[in-house]
Amino acid sequence: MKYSYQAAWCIGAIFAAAAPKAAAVTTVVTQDAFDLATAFAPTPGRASVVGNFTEFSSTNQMGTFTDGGGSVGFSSGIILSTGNVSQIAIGASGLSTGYGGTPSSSTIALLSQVPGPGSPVSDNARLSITIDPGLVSGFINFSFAYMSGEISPSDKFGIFLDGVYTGLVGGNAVDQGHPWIKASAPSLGFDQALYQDGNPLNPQFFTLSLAVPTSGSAFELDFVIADGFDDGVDTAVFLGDFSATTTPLGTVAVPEVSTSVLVALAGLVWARRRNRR
Amino acid sequence: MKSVKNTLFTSGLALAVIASITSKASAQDPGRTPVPTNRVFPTGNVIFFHPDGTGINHWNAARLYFKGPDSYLNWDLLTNMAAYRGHMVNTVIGTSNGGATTHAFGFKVDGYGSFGKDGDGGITPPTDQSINSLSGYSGSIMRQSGNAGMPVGVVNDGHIGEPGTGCFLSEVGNRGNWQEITRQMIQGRSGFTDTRPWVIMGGGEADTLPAGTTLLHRNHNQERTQALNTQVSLRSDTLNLEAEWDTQLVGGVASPVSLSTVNSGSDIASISALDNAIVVKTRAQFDALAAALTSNPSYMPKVLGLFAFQDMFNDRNEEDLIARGKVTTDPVNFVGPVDNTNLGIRSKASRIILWGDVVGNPGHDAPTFAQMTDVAIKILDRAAKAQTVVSNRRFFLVAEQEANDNFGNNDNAVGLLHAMADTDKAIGVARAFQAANPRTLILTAADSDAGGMQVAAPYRDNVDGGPVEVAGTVIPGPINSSTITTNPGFLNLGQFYFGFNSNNAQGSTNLPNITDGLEGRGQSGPIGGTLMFLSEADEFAQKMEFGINWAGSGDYTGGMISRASGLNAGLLNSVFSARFDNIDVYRMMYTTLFGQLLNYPVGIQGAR
Repeated sequence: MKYSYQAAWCIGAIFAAAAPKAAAVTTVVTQDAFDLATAFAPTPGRASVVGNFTEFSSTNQMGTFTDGGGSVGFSSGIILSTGNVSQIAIGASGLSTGYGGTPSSSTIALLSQVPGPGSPVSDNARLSITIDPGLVSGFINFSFAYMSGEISPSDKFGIFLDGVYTGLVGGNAVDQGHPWIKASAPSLGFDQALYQDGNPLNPQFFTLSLAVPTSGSAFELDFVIADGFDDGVDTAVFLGDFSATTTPLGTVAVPEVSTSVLVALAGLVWARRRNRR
Repeated sequence: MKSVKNTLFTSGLALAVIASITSKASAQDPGRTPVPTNRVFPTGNVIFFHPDGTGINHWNAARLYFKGPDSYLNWDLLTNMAAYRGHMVNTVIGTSNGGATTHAFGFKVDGYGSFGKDGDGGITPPTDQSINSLSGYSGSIMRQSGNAGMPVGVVNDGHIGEPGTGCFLSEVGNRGNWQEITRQMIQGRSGFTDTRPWVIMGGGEADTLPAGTTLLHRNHNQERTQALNTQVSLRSDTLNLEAEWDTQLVGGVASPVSLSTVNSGSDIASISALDNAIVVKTRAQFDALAAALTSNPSYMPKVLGLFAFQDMFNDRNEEDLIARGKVTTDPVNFVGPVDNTNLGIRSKASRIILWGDVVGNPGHDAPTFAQMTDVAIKILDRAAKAQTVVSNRRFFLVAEQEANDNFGNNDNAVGLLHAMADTDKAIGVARAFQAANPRTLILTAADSDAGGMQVAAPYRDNVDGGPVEVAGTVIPGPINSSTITTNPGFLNLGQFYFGFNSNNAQGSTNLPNITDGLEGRGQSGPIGGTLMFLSEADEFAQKMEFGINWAGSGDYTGGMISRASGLNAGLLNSVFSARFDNIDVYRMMYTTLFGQLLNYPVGIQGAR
């Protein structure tokens, strides 16, 4: 198993070396939830996105990007990083910015749901937006790219719907230990990226879909990224092209089993208590 | 020693109680949960509508009358809503002055006397004390915004110093101190270097010119215990606040004198010369200003609008206004006299003059609340976009339609309905602006329910087609508010009576309760009554008649709904889903102007 992982890594590295030089990506640092939500969902279609709030260790950790077609894989959207998004550029390598800082208790509570090691956390960046999916949308979809300079699963990334971790992709938490992680072609400052199905011949981004928690009801969507163990070596996610549809358009991210079981159990207990009244 | 111990014990007990309340409240109320200090919200313009005295009952009535039961007001199209709580420190009902102080400062205060301060300076000994706002700033949220460099403004169809606008710019001991309220709004607070607002529009000329000056507007509503039609300034000092406004420094440059005479305000020529600080007082001047704004996209004068001696609306009930000759004979805007001899003629345009003086006087045909709001938004938006400091490129407007409250307190149904329509047009203006400027929060909140206005649908059998008018027909019979059983002048007309209280036990009697028709209870003899209101068509193209009943003439806890749309509007249904009170109005506006959601001050009163 270890051998095959290393082999895939080598293939990715060879591919990366042979890849044509990608176009530069343009980034703009902003912590403004309205700007970020607008860049994330420029044409939301069925759903409406309401800018809500951001939290961060440093103002440099969030921003918008354009001209990403030749590097990120999709043209525009937003970036959340454990480092400085303005340093993300073609040809950069070894991005590592440490800001430290302790996340708020509510952010720590979210991150504690993310499987895997990586505690304590610092360098956190969180975007919280409210999605109103309308009556007919069963799924939200968005373009998703994950890149990191870490080589071991330490940094944390989570997607949360109404506060519940819903970030398992292909059955695994998105971190540096994910089996789909391969060496990155146009590095953007990161050595590794998450490839669809782990195939480095695929683009280093894909469409991620999430089931709407309650049909017709607005819900809170949180993206949180943070450094784990220490605040060195950066990790970032690129998000964009938001849409809402009746059926999923891409890979469906799901809650962790233990989390979903806990939520279900809590619901059962609550329902029983109500029935007793 | 014992007293010290007792004090400590009492204090400890109080803290424990507050801690207990806080703990329980925050567990179930996200609005009271402490907010992480590193949480940042997006910032932008704030347009706060204070449709004073309006509950959902008022909005329902206005929708029926002007749009129809299946249609929509602009208010309906604001995307988010929450139930509003207006209680004060010492009264369960929000008062205009106490509620406005809480909206402006973010602390609950004494409900009776507070006006930009906490307490009553009008009692002996006085209890009023200055307070900082919830952010810690030594002044209201509007003073904090304005002094930071954001353009701010207020609009009111009452006196500019009505609490809903006055509390945002002045700090006095009691709401009766109109003279000082007006001075602070225009000059700034004593001891502070306050930046003047960019726009102030409403009534209140009575308090802007030196003692003894003859005013432009007359006291045609006999307000402030002054003689009918007096035109003498009510200031007791020599301040000429209009001249100060007119010649103020704008961008470091002195504005030229544009007052053609001491009491006529800026003339049209000075406006067309794009004077950068002006005083407008008449319809003609207002129209000239609006035209100048349209033809000069970069024009953004500082505007003081004074369109009445005191209030722009006529603060009386229907019968009183008719008796005082406040009726129009305008054949264009009024279809015909509404009385029992013209059954079926029910014009939406009331013949009662509800705003402004009668024809031939400068206060006639004053600008509407919606028109003033439109002009204010245009000017404030231009001023905001012209700011050199990026963080000041947003504006703050507080717009209060005081007529909603006062017509409710007068049990003037047609007046209140038309005031609601005017407010709704203003909301429409704001929505249109927001569509082009999405970084804008529109928020509405009323602190109480004036009059307890209720729509009463009459019961009629179907002998003559029922109480429904379909296209091309009119409802037959004496459709008159006197036919409602609870009306003091109830007239039993057999099959045509409007039996609201149809469930009474045999022998019981109905308690009298006023029911208004188009012109109130009416004055035509002992029976009284006027034609019922007729709704706009429903989805079946039917119009239905209704009357307006009143709980009384006071302000009530009622059923106020706050609505919002745009930037941060979602907070109403997330953070404030369990509770939205007068303090939260401040918190929501502050969040949008300054990017930080402040913690709710549980058990804490303001101080300075």
